[in-house]
Amino acid sequence: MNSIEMFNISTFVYLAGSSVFLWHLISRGSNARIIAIFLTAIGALFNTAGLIVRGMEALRTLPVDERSITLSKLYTLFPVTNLYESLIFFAWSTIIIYFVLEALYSIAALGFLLTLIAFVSMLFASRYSGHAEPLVPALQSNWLTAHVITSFLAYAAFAVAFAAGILYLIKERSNKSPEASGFLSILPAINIIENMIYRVILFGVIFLTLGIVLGAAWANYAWGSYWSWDPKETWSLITWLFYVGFLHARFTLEWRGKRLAILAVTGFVVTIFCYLGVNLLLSGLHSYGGE
Amino acid sequence: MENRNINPLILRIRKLLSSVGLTVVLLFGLAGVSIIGTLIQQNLPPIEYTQRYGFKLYSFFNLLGFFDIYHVWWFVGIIVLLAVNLTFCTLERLPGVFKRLKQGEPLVDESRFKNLPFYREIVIDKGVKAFPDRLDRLLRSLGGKFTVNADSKGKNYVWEKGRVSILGPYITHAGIIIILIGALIGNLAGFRANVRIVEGEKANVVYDVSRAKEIPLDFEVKCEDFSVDFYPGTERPKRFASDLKVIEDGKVVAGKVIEVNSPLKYKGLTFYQSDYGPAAPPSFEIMVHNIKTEKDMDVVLNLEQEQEIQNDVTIKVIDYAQNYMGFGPAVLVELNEDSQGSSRFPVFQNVKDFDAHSGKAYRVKLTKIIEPSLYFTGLQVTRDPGVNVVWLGSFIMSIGLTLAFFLYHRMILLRVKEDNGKIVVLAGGRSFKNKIGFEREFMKVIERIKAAEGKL
Repeated sequence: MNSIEMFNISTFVYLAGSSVFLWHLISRGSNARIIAIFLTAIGALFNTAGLIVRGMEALRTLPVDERSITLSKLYTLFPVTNLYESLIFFAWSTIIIYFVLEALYSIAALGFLLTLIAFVSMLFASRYSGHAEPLVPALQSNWLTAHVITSFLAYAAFAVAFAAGILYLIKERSNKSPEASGFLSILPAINIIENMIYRVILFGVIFLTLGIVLGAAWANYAWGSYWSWDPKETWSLITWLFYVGFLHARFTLEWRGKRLAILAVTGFVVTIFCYLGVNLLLSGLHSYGGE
Repeated sequence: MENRNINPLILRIRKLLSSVGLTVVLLFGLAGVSIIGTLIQQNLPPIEYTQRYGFKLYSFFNLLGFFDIYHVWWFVGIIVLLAVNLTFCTLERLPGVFKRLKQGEPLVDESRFKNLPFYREIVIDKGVKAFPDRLDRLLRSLGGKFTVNADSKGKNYVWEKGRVSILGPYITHAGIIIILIGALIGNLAGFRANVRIVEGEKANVVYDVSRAKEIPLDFEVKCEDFSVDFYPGTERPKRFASDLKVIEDGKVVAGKVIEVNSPLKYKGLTFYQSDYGPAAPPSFEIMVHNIKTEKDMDVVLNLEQEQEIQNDVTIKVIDYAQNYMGFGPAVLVELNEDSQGSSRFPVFQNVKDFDAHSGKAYRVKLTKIIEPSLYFTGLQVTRDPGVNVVWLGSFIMSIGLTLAFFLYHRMILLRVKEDNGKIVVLAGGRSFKNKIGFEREFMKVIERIKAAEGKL
């Protein structure tokens, strides 16, 4: 099986997982929940295996005598070099963060939204699917790996904050009406969701900061300038400023509740533009992420 | 108190500059205006802008500095204001923070316990004698630090952890200020320039494009050789490299084969491999077939070079592409046929019998594109004395963020007293962040205190 087939399987398993999560939310049956988590794990397994196989495939695009892997060439095994691969890695990061949160908070509605986000990302990726290609010189660097991993952990964290923000807004509305229906009663208490929103955003800001700093270090090493107001750089700064604004609103202005949930949801729109909008609509250093 | 003599206007300005409300406005505002520069392409020649936006809009945008927005005075002004705001906020709060950081343990007062956010009472009636030792061990196993003091009625324990996280935001802010200082140093004392050197040639001047000026070097850089490898069967470059030598007073003093991700450093300047290209355009081997006489004629043409094939019939290559519309290498040919007039048409190398657009009396074929043997190497040359300051600031900022995220300050207060052969433990806890995480930790400690009872 090649990596593309594995990713395709994983796409549909995520869809199945997401559907069963939804079924669980409607029916409130606990078996459905276990099946949903199981399916998501299967999807994650194919996703992970696909990434590993993809790394091998990328290695095979090199001439035979250049296939040995040394520490300084680790990046060859890390297959995130174009939009297709990056969307798949985004789905993977989101699912990984989901499993961490499943262990910590165990929120089924979050499982539903996050598997859905992973599915949409994989589905969107399939539009750009293609076989592994060798790297252009600028991307032949371990900085690439570090920069991409940290940035995508941040993106995934913001996706989680977005999902939690939506849950908050739903729950908040339902709290106003006296009788909560089955679906709503399964949601966690509103203060737990709120707490989670800012925890994942703080996590995301740390990794976005690292991603930007690593990107700057790499740019400085490869091109001689750590910052050149390239559209991707600028949008990562915009995203960073936005979430830093969020943290200050929370910690020092003591904003709470709905306003923060709306900010968390809006923030993800900014994140998506930073991630996809820049690659697809604007031109610049990250244009290789466009096709 | 000391403020009484200060002008109220200055007081008000100081209050504004040290307010977090201003910080939030500046953060979102800076994010907002930064978008403009990603929607309007920056630093294009004015003619392009007038074509795109019309003259009126162009003049308006130009007045606002939208075409070089990240360097216009008001944009830099916002950043400076943010830095000032950050400094004021920090200075205002720092004394309080140090006080909190050095603060002694709070007095354990029974009446205070019930006001703490978390509160439990535990009664121990088995293993009373061994309990104090066990409690000691338990508290030690939690990490952090704890103190004990006793009074006539019982013992007080104060356990706390993560106090240093109070400094997190301030360390982060210090990092940001240091980054901005580094950027300022780089802007004032550094430059970023380009130079193209043809293989075998030397350069001692580089060009700073954004400031539109030449920068002389006090040495020469020679490009001994340039090489580029492609991935087999593709036009995807795998590696390109320039063999550079630094020449000072006629002697070679340094040298390196540089490639992307591997620059040469000399005397505070860094030379990066940025791009490459042929030193001259290629030439073209073209076959012209006379339809009437069925005779072929081969010509080799340079770009824009007019060649006579017969009397009053000339051919010229006006343009070329390595891959035209997905059909591979092609040239755009202009054929002047005396009586028939002139015509322009593309001629492909790999598409057989694509004669539809050839001339009336002639068919034209592209046999070969002859690449010139010489390349130029494109180098980016920078001096940035501020770059290490920027890295220092980034490092400090990352430490500060990590402190702020992974640690948080929390305390558990215990009052242990004996009462009719039983031990009563009053336990109170508070955290300054992450209340939910702390609640769990607190309840775990309570469970373990309870469990300490049965294990005798």
